[in-house]
Amino acid sequence: MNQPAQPIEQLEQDLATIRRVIAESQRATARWGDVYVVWGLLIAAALVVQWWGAARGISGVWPVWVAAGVTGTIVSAVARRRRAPTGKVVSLASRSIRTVWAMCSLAIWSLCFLGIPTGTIGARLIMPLIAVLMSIAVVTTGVTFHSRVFIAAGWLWFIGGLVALFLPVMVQFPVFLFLIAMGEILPGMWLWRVERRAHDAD
Amino acid sequence: MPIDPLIHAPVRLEIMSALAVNEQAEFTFLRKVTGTTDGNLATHLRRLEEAGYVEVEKRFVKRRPQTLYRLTETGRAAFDHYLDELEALLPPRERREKS
Repeated sequence: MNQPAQPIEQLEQDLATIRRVIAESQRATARWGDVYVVWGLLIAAALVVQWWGAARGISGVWPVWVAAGVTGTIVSAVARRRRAPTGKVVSLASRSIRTVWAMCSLAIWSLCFLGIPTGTIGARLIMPLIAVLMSIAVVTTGVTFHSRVFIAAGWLWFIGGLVALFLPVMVQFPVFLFLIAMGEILPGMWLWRVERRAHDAD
Repeated sequence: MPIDPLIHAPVRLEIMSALAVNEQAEFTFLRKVTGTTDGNLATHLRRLEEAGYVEVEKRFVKRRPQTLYRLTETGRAAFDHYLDELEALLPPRERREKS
């Protein structure tokens, strides 16, 4: 059967329509900038306390990590719950990202609360391991949502993790703080701003 | 075989694109994406539903009605086929960019 003639402009317009709808869907599902920022600030605060404890030989500061973890989990749950009624789309991409973050977070907390106390993981290895796990979650987020900022931040975590392998623990602290600022808080603020702009435009 | 006229209409193409990249979408989201009226959107959705391309789920969230739409296997296959047809009709990208 002969194909009816379709003007190229019409077909290109169809392609443009498909691209626009995909972009809008991505905007509707990627609203997590504020949660990234909150987690970054909580971890940075806990890390500063840990650093202070390490500098003074105080080992009983670990509850601060529990407090940071519980607070972050509550904030994430509240944010998710608040968005659920208005979260009008469910995409495989956002579900995959949530799963990657959940599993990386679980791995990080398991390494901290099981790996260190049992002596399986030395203090010097924990920060490089966390950084590499963070790189997986951040790069995956960036690739899924086509965000160069997040992809760059993920690579920063990876390189930072490798560099930290060669550093003593006390030097790893400022390196890790730098990674949290540049690889979690700043990308989170950038995403937050993008989301706010898109929200205002709606 | 001609390009699927059921998908080719602008509003229905927008609906199919939105549902192709999302597992499910609410009526209000589809209204925002298409920028059309409730009545017009409902008409297009009904046509897609009758063709077996989309399925609908009605539920209550916090006592408010919510209507969710998702692509069926038939709908996904039809959309994939539509994209193949579109690609076949368009000249190669390099030529389009040069012209």
